[in-house]
Amino acid sequence: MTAAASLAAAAPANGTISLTATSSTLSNLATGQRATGSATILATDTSGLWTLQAEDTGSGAGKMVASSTGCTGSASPLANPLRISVSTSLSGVTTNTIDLSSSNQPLASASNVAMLTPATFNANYTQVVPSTQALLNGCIYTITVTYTLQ
Amino acid sequence: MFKKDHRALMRVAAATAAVVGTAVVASPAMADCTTSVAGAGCGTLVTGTALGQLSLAVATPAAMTLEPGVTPSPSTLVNGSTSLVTALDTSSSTPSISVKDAAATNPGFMQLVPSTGCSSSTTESKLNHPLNLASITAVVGWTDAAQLPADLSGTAVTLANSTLPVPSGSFTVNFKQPVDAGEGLLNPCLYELTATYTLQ
Repeated sequence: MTAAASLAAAAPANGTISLTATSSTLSNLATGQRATGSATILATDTSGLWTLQAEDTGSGAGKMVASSTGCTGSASPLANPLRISVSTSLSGVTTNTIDLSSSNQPLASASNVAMLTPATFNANYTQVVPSTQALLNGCIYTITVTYTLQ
Repeated sequence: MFKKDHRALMRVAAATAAVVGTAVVASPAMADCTTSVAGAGCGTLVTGTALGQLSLAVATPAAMTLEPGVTPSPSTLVNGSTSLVTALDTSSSTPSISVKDAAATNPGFMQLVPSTGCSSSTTESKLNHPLNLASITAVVGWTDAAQLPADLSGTAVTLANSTLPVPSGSFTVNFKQPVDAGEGLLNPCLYELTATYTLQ
């Protein structure tokens, strides 16, 4: 008696894609200063062809906005947009530095670099505050950066 | 050799006073965003807490020549000089700048600077009248506190303030020094005081 068995597996039509990003707190946010911060982005995309983008869909359209309390007289939104750059150890990836806006802009892209396991991107934030803008001590500024991997 | 004369040199020294600022750092919620849907946005929060800035610089005014018997008028700077104050303050939403003379004795009065030929036995040890804070002018970024003219003393006089944080600003302080006609000031004895400015 003989028996035959065959096994077959097919990759999902759309592959696997996932994206995780941590929040960040800027340091040295003050009048006439340059504030910086960082975050970690973990991305998975088995297709090999992908683009990581960022935008701000909030009211500041790329510029940090002061909290509604504790910020009397403090400038809002800030004059300059939040600047974002990313770095990664993946080879074959093109990276960009962008001034955040209400439009999606590419931060990193690749045409043949599959991320089968979560790949790490380091996002670096820079916020330059001109000397003509008064930032009241203790005033909290926020912005939501929306990342998209597609 | 010194001669008794009705003229003496005087100078006003200005000093930068204590500047105090406390940075407050809040701890925003640290939330991650995760998405596994292709093309879906992953919104992550970026937060910054502003640090207050304080900066105060005061230029030493030029020495003035004391002319006994000359009474300063509101419109002129007879027996006067000026000092440029440059200050920024984002530590408060209602910042102010004040000035006083912190001397232990006779605050507000020019004191004799002892030197050869210039002692309390040969000339006045202090002037009869306190230094007068006549006005502030060329005000940028600040608001004239409208407390001048006033005599300098050991009690702080507010020169300028604001209802908003001031990212940069400056103004000129104009001093006048009345000298009585009968004051015996030996030429060229020097008189001085230190004005202490406070930004808060």
